[in-house]
Amino acid sequence: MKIEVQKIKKIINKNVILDDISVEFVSGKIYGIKGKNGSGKTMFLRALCGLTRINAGKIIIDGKYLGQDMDFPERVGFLIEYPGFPGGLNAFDNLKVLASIKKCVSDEDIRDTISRVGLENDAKKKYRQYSLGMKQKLGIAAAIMEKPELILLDEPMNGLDDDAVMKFKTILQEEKERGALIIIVSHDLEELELVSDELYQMKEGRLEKK
Amino acid sequence: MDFKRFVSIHKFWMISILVGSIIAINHFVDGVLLVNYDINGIPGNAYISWIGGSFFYSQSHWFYFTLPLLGSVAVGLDYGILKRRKYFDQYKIRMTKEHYIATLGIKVFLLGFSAIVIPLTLNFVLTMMERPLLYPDPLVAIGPQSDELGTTLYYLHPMIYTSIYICFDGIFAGAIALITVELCAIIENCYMATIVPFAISYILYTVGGLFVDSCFTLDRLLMPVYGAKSVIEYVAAVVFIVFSIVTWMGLGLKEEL
Repeated sequence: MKIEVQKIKKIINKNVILDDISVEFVSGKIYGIKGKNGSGKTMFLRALCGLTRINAGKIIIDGKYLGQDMDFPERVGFLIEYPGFPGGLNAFDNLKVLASIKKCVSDEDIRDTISRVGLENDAKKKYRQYSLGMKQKLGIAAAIMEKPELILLDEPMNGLDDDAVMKFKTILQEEKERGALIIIVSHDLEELELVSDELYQMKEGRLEKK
Repeated sequence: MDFKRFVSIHKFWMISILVGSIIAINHFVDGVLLVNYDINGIPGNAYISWIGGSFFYSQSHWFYFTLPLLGSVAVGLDYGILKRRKYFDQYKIRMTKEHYIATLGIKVFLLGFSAIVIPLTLNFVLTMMERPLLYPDPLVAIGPQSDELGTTLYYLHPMIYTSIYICFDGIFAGAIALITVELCAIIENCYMATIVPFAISYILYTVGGLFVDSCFTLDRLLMPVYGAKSVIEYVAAVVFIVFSIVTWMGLGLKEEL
């Protein structure tokens, strides 16, 4: 997979959120984007997965124009902002509801994903009883469960304890070896340096390579 | 298991069904089961004894008065809260935009539709089990009057008239459900968005109360026993239903849903 971002701009109420960003991402790599709060990181991820319209520029994924040839990238998983799931369902049921849309994942795959993120001991708990870290784990599980080609993660290590962070890093390596293109945004440079192959800095809507 | 998941996600739909069914069953017990004759001494008849067939029982007024609320609560709070949490983004990226708009739209519409049709059908079926399905007598004058639309259909084919009217009420509630989720996308407070359809119908109810047989009174239009006085009332209802669908597609294409 190859993503070409060409001079994209996003303006909301005359505020420039994304300013003339051009960059290329290829599969099998982990890209880290560091930036302060409000620098445009989340908006950039939303633009990449087609959840927000850009005002100018183009996003080309494997030769197809996002927003013209396709509404959303064909195989994408994401965790953007705090994950919100129906509170009355447990981890398996929540993932099963999402898996039933594309029907490309078996129940066994769902259980395996729950175990990979470390939620197997809390599998029967309902989402509303989850801690922040557990919610984050379920968000990561939803992002990786369908083995997507593109994985977009926004502050994925928020609320995770040390063990969970270790598990998460293992997952990232496994997904990278599988050939996924992974983009992680975070305000924490140390976190990103440990997991990223390439590092970028987002500053006032502009993206620079570090 | 799938039913369990459905119930967990659609709690407020279940509450709507429950409230509607309680009113419907209460009407059945109070107005059908415990009396041999209808309230004014007319021999029992399923078409005039069920909740939508006459206006003698308070439960009839309660049901049709709260219909906009039952339709909006059925989706507003479950979907409004999930919408605010951006849960539906997870759906979007697993479909095309058109598929998402259509799938969610049909789902929301059917939830509103069923929140009304299930209690009404329940009441009608229960009434049919207790009262004979006799053709309504025009001389008794319970049912649509000669100046109301659909009168001929009611007296010639009462089952078709009743079925169509139950569906009409359900479609109206489905449109209310669509509008409610649209309002949830526009108004940040989903509780506020959920109450808006009922608030508007209450204003119409109050305004309609100032006039005799006013077409402004929504519950009058929705009650099969009345029918519409003028075709304009049905046109207004159809315009409202079309408006709910068009705005749904418009907001969906603008990625607001």
